[in-house]
Amino acid sequence: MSAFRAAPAGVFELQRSSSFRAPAPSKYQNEEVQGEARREARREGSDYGDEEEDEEEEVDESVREDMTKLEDTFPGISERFRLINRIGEGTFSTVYKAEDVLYDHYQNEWDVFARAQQQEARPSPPAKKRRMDGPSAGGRPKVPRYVALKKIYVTSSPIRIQNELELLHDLRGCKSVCPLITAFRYQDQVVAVLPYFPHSDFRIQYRTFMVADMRHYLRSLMTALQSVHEHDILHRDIKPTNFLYNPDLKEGVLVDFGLAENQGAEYTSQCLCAHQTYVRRSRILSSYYSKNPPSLGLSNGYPKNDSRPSRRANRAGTRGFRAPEVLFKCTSQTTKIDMWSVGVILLTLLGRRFPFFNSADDIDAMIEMSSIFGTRRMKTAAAMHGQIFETNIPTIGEKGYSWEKLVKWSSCVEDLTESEQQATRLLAGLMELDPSKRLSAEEALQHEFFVNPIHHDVEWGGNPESGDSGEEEDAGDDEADEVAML
Amino acid sequence: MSTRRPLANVPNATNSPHRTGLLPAKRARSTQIEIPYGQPPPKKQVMDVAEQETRSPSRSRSTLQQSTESRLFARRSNNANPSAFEKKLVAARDRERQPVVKGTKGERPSADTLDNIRQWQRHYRKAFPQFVFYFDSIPEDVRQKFSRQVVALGAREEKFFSRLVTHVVTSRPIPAEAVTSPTEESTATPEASGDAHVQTVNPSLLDKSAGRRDQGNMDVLQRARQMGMKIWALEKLQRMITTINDNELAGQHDAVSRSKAAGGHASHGKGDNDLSRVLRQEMLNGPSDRDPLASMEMLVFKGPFIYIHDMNEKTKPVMVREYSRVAKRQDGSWPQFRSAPLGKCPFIDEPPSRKEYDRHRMRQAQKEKKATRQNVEEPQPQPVPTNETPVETKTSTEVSKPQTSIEEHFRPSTQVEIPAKPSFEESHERKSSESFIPPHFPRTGPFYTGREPAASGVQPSNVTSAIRSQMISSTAAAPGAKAGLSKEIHGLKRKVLEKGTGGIITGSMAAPQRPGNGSSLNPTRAQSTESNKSAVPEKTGQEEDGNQSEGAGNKRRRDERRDNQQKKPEQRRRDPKPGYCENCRDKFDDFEEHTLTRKHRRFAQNTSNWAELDALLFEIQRPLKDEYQF
Repeated sequence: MSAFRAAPAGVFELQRSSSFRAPAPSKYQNEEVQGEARREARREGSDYGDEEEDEEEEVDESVREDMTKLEDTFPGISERFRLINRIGEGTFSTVYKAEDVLYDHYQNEWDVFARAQQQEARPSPPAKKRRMDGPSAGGRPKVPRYVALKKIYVTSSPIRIQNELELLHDLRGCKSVCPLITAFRYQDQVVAVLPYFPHSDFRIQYRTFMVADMRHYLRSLMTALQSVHEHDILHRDIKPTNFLYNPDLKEGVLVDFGLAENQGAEYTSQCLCAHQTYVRRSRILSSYYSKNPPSLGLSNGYPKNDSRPSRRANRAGTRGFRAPEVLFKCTSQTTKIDMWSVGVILLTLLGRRFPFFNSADDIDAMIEMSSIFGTRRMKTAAAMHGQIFETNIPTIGEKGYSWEKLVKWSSCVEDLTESEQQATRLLAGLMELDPSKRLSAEEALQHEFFVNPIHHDVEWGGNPESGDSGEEEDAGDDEADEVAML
Repeated sequence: MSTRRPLANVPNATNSPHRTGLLPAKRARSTQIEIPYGQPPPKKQVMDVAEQETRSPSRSRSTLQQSTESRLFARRSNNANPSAFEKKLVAARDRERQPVVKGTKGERPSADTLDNIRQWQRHYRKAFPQFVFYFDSIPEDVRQKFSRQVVALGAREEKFFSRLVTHVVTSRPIPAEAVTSPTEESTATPEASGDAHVQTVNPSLLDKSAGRRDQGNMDVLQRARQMGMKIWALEKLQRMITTINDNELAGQHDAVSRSKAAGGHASHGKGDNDLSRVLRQEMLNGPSDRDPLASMEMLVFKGPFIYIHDMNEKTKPVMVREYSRVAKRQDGSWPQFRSAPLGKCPFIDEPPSRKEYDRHRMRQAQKEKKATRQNVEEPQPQPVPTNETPVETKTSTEVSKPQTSIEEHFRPSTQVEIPAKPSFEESHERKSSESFIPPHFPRTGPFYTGREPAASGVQPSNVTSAIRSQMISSTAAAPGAKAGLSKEIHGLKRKVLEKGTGGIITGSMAAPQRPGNGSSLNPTRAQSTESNKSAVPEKTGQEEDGNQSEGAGNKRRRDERRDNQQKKPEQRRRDPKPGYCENCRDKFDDFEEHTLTRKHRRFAQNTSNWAELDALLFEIQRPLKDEYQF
C-alpha cells in the first residue's frame, strides 16, 4: 500500500550486512551510492554494459520488467522519469524510486527537504568518493533528483484514487505530511508523483532508539497527525512503514493516504459510543443481553447457521495496529484510531519488539489486546460499542497488566529510567481503550513527554544483537518472572 | 430439519421437581412404549417415591392431577436426560434421514416407533388445550413468543400465578435440583419436609409473589411444586412444542410406506415440509428478528473461546472462535504473551530455531569436548535453549552448514545432547496440535512469508481469503530480517527475495500490456513538451519488439527482457495474481488477464468514468517554471 516502503531489495542486502556493525547506518547514504552509480552507468549507456550489469544486479528481474512495462505502456513517462527500483508494494499500488529528469523545469515548492539536505553537510561515504573518481565522474555536477512514483493499480476505482489524491491535495503544506507533487493518468493507469524521502529503516530504529530519539520521532509523527486530524481526516494506516523517518533530520513524513477518509464519511449508523454516557448506559441496561444474561455468566454457545446481518464497519488498516474500536466494528470511528496506532508504535519502541502484536487476524488481535488489558477493561470497552465481550481463555486475566510492567517485561529490564517512565505514561494515554479518553494528537503534543521532557537516558543495555551468554541468563530470569506472572 | 439438534443432545438441566419422586413410578407404568430402551429405575428412587407419596398429601394430589394427563406426558416431565422416548424420537428421525433403508428388518421397529410418536403427538395435541401455563423468569419477548405458541396449540397462559396454573415454565434452575447434587436422598428429604410444613398456599402470598416473583420468601417454583404443578424448563417446553408441531414425524409413516412401495427413499417431500414449517414457525415465532437467538440452533462451546457479540443480538457476532481444550494453558493455540526472545514479537510462539538449536548443540559439543579433555565424566547440566540469541547477518543455512560438520566431528558426545533435543521437538509438537474449530489462519502463517503486514480490511465482502492472502506488502521490508524472527523465516524470506523480489507476486502485478489501441487520450496530464518519441506501444506483436523507447540504454533492457521472456511468462501463468477489480466489480483469477478483458478496457477508455478524477488531476498539475512555459 504504502508509498516508500522501506528499503529496496538491493539496499536491503547492503544494510543487513552493515547495520549490525553501525547502529544507525544512514540508509540515505547507501541509496546515494547506488543512485550515483546507476546514474553513471546509465550515462555510459550500453557501451558499458558489463559495468552496468553489476549495478543492475540489485534490481530484481521482475521488478525491472515491471518498470519497463510501466515505461512502455504509459506514454511519456520515460521522458520525465527514469525508474530506478521498486521501493514498495502494497494492496493498491507499487512505488518506484525514480529520477526526476525534468526537475529543473518545474517550480518545486514541494521540495522542502531539498534545502535541509543541501544544508546538511553530509560526509560522503568512501564508496561514493571512489565512484566519483571513476571514469565518468568528471561529468555534470548536477545531482540527480529523486522522486517516488506511486503506480496505482488499474483495478482501483477512480473514486478511491480520487479520494487519496484529493486528501493529499487538501493536506498540502502540512508539516510532516508527504506532499503530492503531481499525478497523471493514462487510461486506467494513474501514477502519483511524490517526493523521495530518504529515511532509515524502522527495523533498525526500534532496536537503537533512545528515548530522546523516540521523542523526535513521535513529535514529528504527531505533528503530521495533528494537521491531518485538523482536517477531519483519518489516516487509518498509521504504522512505521508509513512514516518515513530520517534520524539525521529528526523529521519524518507521513505517507500513504490510500486508506484515509474523512471523518464521518463512512458512518452508516451511529455507534453506541457516539452517544452520551447516560444514553449509553440505559441502552446497555435495556439490551437483550442485560435482560437475558446467560445463566452461568458466560454464553454457552453461539448460533449455528447465523442468518443475521453482519455488523459492518470500516476496518481498513493494518493488523496489529488496529484500534480496539475498529476490532469491535464501531461504526463511528474517529481520528483517535490513528492515535492508538501511534501508541502501538511507541510500545514497539519502548518494548523493543517489532512487531509487538502479531495479530494474524482480528480475533488474534483481540486476544492479544485482551491479554494485556484483561477481561474487565475489555468488557467495558466492548460495551461502549454495544458489544458483549466474553472469553474464558485461561491466559487472559481479569485485570490485565500495567503498561509499566509490560514495558519492563518486553524490554527485559529491571527498572525503567525516568524518561522511559515518562514515555510509558504517554503510552498509557495513547493506548487507551476508550477512544474518547484517548489523547488526541494535539493533546499528546502537550504531554509532559514533549513539553517537559525528562532527560535521563540510559542506553538500552539489552542489545539483542550482541550478547550470547550473559544475555541469555538475563532473559532466562525474565522468563521465569513472566511465567509466574501470567 | 437437519439443523435441528437431536433431542437427545439437548443438555437440558435436570430440573423437574417430579423427577426424583414420580418419574420412576411413571416409567414403570409406561413400559409398553419403552421396552427397547427402558431401564429399571434405581431401587432407591422407587423407595423414595413410595415414601413420599405416603407422606405427603400434596404429592398424592399431584399424582392425581397427573392422571388426568397422559402417562406419556408424565413421563416426559423428566427434563433431566432425554427420556427413552425422546431417544426414540431421535432415533426414528435419524433413521428416517438415512436415505436408503436397507431390508425390511430395520424398518419394522422404525414404523413402530413412528406409531408411538404419532400417538404421542395426537395425545398432546389433545391434552394441550387443558394446560394452563405460567411463565416464570422468562424475558418478556421470549414469553410472548412461547405464549403464542402454546395458545396456538390450544393452551392458555396465566399472567399471574394461581391455582389454575397447571404448568410453570421457567428459565431458572429448579430449586430442589440445585440442592440436589450429591445424592438422590438429599433432595428427597428436604422436599418431603417442605411438603409437610406448607400444605396449602395462602392466596394473598400468591398475589404478592406474582408481582415480584423472586422476592417472596417462598419461591414460585417451590410453591408450584407443592401445588403439584408441572415445572418445565423453557427448553423442555420448546422441545415439546417442536415435537408436537413436527409434521415430518407425523407424516413420516406415510412417507415411509410410500417409499417402501416405490423402492425409493423416504426423504423426498421434505422440501415441502421444510417450507411449511418455516412458515409455521414464522407464524408462531413472529418475524425472526424479534428474538433472533431463541429460534436459532446454538453451537455449544466446549473449549476456551472468545465471543464478542451484539448486546441486542441483532447482528452476527463480531468475533467468535473456539480453541481446543488443553491441559496446560501455555499449550493453548490462541495468542499468548510469551517470553519470546528480545526484539521479537511476544505473541509468536516459536520453537528455538534450527540455527539456535544447532548452535546450542555446537556449544554443547564444545563444552563436552572440554569436559572430556578434562576427564570430567558428569554430563553438563543442560540449559534449555529457550532464548534464541537473535540476529546474525548470516542466514540459517549458511551458519548451520559449518556447524553440522562440527557436530559430526563430535558425534560421540551427542549423547549428552539428548535432553536438549526433546525440548526442541516438543515445542514443535505444540504447534502441530493446533486444531481450531472455526477455520483459522495459523498465527505463524503470515510471518512465514517473511513480509510485512499490509493494510487490509477494505475489501468488499465478496473478496475471498485467497485475495486477502495476497495482500502482502513491501518485499524489502521483511520484519523477519531485523525483527529477529526465526531463522526459518530468514531462510524463507531470503528465498523470496532471491528468487526475485516478489518475482511471483509483483511480476504478475505489473502494468498490463496494452493491446494496440490507438490511444485517443492525450497523455499530457503528464506535462512535458518533448513527447512521444515512442510512447504508445503500437505494435500488437511481442511486447519487446513493440517498444524502443529510450535509445541506447534500452537495448540492454530489451535483451534482458528477451531472456526473461523465456522463463517468466511460464512462471506467471503458473502463478496468476487473483484479485478484485473495483471498476468491473469482478473477482478475477489473473490480474493481467483481467486488465485485458473487454469489460475492463471499455471502462478504462470511457472518459466519463474519469471525468472527476481528471478535474482533480488538472488542478494538481505540476507548475512549470516560467522559462519552460510556452
